[in-house]
Amino acid sequence: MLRFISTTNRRVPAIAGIGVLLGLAFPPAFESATSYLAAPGYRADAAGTEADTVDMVGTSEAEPVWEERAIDPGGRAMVHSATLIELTDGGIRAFWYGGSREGARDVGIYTARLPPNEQQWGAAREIMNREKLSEELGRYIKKLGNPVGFLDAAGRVWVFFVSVSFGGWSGSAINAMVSRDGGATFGQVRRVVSSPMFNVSTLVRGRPIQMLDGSITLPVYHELLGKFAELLHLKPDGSVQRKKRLTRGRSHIQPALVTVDADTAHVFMRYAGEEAKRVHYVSTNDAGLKFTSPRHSNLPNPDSAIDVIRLTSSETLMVYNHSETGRHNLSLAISGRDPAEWTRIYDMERSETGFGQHFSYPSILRDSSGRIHIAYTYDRRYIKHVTFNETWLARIRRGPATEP
Amino acid sequence: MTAYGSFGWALVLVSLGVYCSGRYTDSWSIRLGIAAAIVAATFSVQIDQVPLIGFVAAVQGEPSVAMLLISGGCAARSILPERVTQEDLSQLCACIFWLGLVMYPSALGVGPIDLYAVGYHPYAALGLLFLALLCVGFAATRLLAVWATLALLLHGHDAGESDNILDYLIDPIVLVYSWWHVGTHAWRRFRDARR
Repeated sequence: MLRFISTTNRRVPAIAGIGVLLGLAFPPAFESATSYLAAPGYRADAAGTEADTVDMVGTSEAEPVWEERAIDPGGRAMVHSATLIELTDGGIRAFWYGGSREGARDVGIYTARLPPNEQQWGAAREIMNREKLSEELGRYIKKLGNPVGFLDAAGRVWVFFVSVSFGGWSGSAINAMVSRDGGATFGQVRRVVSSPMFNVSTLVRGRPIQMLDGSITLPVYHELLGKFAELLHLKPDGSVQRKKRLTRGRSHIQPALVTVDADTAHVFMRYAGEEAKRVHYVSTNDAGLKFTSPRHSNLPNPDSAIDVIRLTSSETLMVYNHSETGRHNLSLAISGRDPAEWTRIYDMERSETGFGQHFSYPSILRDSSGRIHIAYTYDRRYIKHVTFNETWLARIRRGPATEP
Repeated sequence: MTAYGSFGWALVLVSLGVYCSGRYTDSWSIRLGIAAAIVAATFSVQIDQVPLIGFVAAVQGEPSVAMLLISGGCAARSILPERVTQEDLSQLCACIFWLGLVMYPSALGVGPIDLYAVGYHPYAALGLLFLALLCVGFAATRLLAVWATLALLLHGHDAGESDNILDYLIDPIVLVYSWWHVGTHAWRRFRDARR
């Protein structure tokens, strides 16, 4: 006993010293620990809900508007996975990846801008390629893909994208870069570490959501062995604050997050399983602390990406492939308060040659004027951009689902 | 790559150079020369405009504290065996073995909980602080305390790319090493028991 006390006494200075050292080193940890237990809530304007008070039927523009444009593919044979953001000046910026083929070494991340009140997109510009990323990150990069744009509350443009060093897409890691001039120039790329297994197999596709405290919720998904959806909570500086797994198993990828109010949100997912080929979803009522188990909606899903946006406080608009077998069409559907029940209202695309054409990876945006923009991959040859207004949507809703 | 990543990999390469060359020569100048040459080559020789260290970092972005301690410990044992004991290394490997055995499968989707996500939680740092104090005060080994303390300090100062404290503790490469270490250790004990 005496020997134990003697040994313990000798160690007291060491314990005290290391305790003081670590206590001084970690005030941020203690500080953030207290805020960790409460979710900050979703920003209302982050998902287009600033227009909640607007009546859907013909208030902003009397005439229906439907416009179609092609975004310059930048001379690349293959383009894919477009995403749209509205800039602070009212212009629209698109990001996508393009190259000789998917996964090729010459694939780069491209951007183009549609100035406010203009009809033509500007020229495409490469903002990232594998050589540049290799140099910035100090490591070998094999290929790039899936850019996701986001305008945060501070007016910064974020671009999240995946990169692969070895293997296929399941070996992806997420990278982030930030622009303070509307996407004209970008700062140093930051690696988002989200997996302990060589930081591989976390991919991004869905649009992030701004939280009330300035943090960002980024929908991501995992593809190695299991296929499941997750949410990453990022601090305003881009560091990871928290990770939340939404589903289990091998069926749910490419989550698309849509908020209803500060506490309520639904996450709709591409279904990669074999059984119920439907769009699946999970919901939260406490700003993401807890989610329901996955349920399926009444919309079909042929293992393809979807996107959703809030129209009003009670309605959500989805763009998706209305098929269980292929991406040969692209449709719009509207849901009320029940995220399981959707009504298909319009077929934006339908392949003239049966299964020969592909319309995929849609991205939807509601701008500050209330117009809705959708960009999607048109047969992998170019990015098509469609714009319509609420008056057009109200007119379409009165009729049967048809082609334009 | 961060400064921690570059420095960490250089340290691992020096340790491995010193340890491995010790099997062939006792000359300190030769051993340090070999280690320096390995580091210089890894950071300067390029393939496809990417230095060799870039291919290492493409697999494992940055070495964990465990990798630094194990490689450094092996090198130190070849110099001062009485300062870093085999028992120290074995205890560290046993901790890595069990932590990895639980955490990696859960991160890949096995089971209902993602234990890796716990590492982002600030309370994970507090738990590790408690563990470090416990090791320093009452447990047997100094290496475990150094392991937890170094991981805490590096994480607290955002030294590496990761914001998850578990990435500072272990990585898949040391997990494989720890499996080998624990496996051979268990086999030896089993073999000795049968004799």
